[in-house]
Amino acid sequence: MTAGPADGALRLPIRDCHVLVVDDTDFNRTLIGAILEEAGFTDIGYAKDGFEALEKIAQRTPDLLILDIMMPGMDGFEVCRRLRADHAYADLPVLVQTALSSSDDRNRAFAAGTTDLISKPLDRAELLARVRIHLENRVLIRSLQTYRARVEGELAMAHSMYEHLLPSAALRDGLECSSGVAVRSHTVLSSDMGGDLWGVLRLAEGRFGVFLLDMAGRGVSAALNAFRMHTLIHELSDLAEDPAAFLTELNDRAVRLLELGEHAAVLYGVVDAAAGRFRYAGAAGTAPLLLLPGGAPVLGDAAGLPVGVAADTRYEARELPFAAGATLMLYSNAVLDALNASAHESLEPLVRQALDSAAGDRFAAVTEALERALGEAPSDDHTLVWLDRTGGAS
Amino acid sequence: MDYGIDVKEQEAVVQLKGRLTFNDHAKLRALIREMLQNKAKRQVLDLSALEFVDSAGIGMLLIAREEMANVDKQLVLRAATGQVKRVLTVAQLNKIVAIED
Repeated sequence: MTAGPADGALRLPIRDCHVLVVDDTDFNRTLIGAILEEAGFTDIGYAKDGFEALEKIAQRTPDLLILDIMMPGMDGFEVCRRLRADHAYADLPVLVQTALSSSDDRNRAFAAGTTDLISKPLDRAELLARVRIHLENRVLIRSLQTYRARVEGELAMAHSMYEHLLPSAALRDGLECSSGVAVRSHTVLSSDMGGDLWGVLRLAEGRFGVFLLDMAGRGVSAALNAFRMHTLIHELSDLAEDPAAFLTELNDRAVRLLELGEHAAVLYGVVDAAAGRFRYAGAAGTAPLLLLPGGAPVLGDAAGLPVGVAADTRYEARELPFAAGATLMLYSNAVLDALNASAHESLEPLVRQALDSAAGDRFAAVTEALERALGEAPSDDHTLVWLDRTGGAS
Repeated sequence: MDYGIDVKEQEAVVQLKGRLTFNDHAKLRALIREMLQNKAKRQVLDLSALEFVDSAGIGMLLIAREEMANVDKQLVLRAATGQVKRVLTVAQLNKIVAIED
């Protein structure tokens, strides 16, 4: 910020700031008030000692305190210490006027919590320059704080909207009743929204579709695109029985919708418990991991061009057996990115080890093992979807 | 991510190093401008020293491909290894970009 011209025309709105002048000498209060008023400040308060100063501050927090050190009763040092001890006034700028010239005294003032010093006798230009600096800082910091609070609030709102998109417990219970498949999930969202999304589409005869989507990029644009993709997916429910056709159509619509450089990794599959199979198609998705009772895990294949890149891309359907006793695990790209190895090299051994040592809840054991491996504050969203046909809580 | 460009008569070879992620958007934009300016028809991204690419990085490679195609240049992705190779394979980018070992 450049300094204003000599006439005091300021770019930041500091003239409306509330300045409290604390001095036990009437003459000094009048002098400081006159200098400030002449410079255009309109909201000036006065206190004649430390007690009155604290009282007035409690009634209304000033934007700047101009404080005398030598006062009867409670001196400026004590006022400073009391203010700094109270969290509410931790960042209130305090400009101390002092005739103390030794560096010990000055250091004592800073140790008590003074923001800045101005020497007595007061020099008009110096007083105004220091007042302006501290008020401009105050206004700038306040506007940054307001902005930051707004961004945090909006991200929190986006998180909560996002959570509403995910299948509810009631939906998952209903699904378990109709299909016999227990659906559980574990999501760790990064603070800036990574664009992961999963969901289910209920189909006839106990079948259901499940999708896992990972929007490229991060932040607001990824989140907004994930919302758009969610809408597209639900518009395509007519094609939901056929994973290849579903992804092909989803891609064609996404190509029209998304900008160059925006795309999504998608896995879409139909869980058919009665037929004992999982038919799916992948678009740069992560390979579904099939866990079999007493057998080695089986990795599927979800390779394919990401959705939204090229029109007329054809996706092919693949199949995994999904009989009673089996569990299917779907997970987002970020899980593999964080493990920094292929699913075969990293995820498979990790899951196998977690299940071997799991005494009770297998889903919880895998989730915990993943959290240990990935850390608590991910830089991208992590999603794990667990489709369980083992029956009961095993 | 860092890069260095070696422009030869036939092709320009860009050596990418480190990690290509969401945070490299501005840098990749600058690189694309440089690739548009040099004369070579074939613009090769040498990925042998690239350790990691995320989905946003893939998006940037696709932007580069499109920008090259717009001026009749060809983008080639060369010598990917490790995670980068896995990601290119899973995303089947060979369907739309020339990929060389």
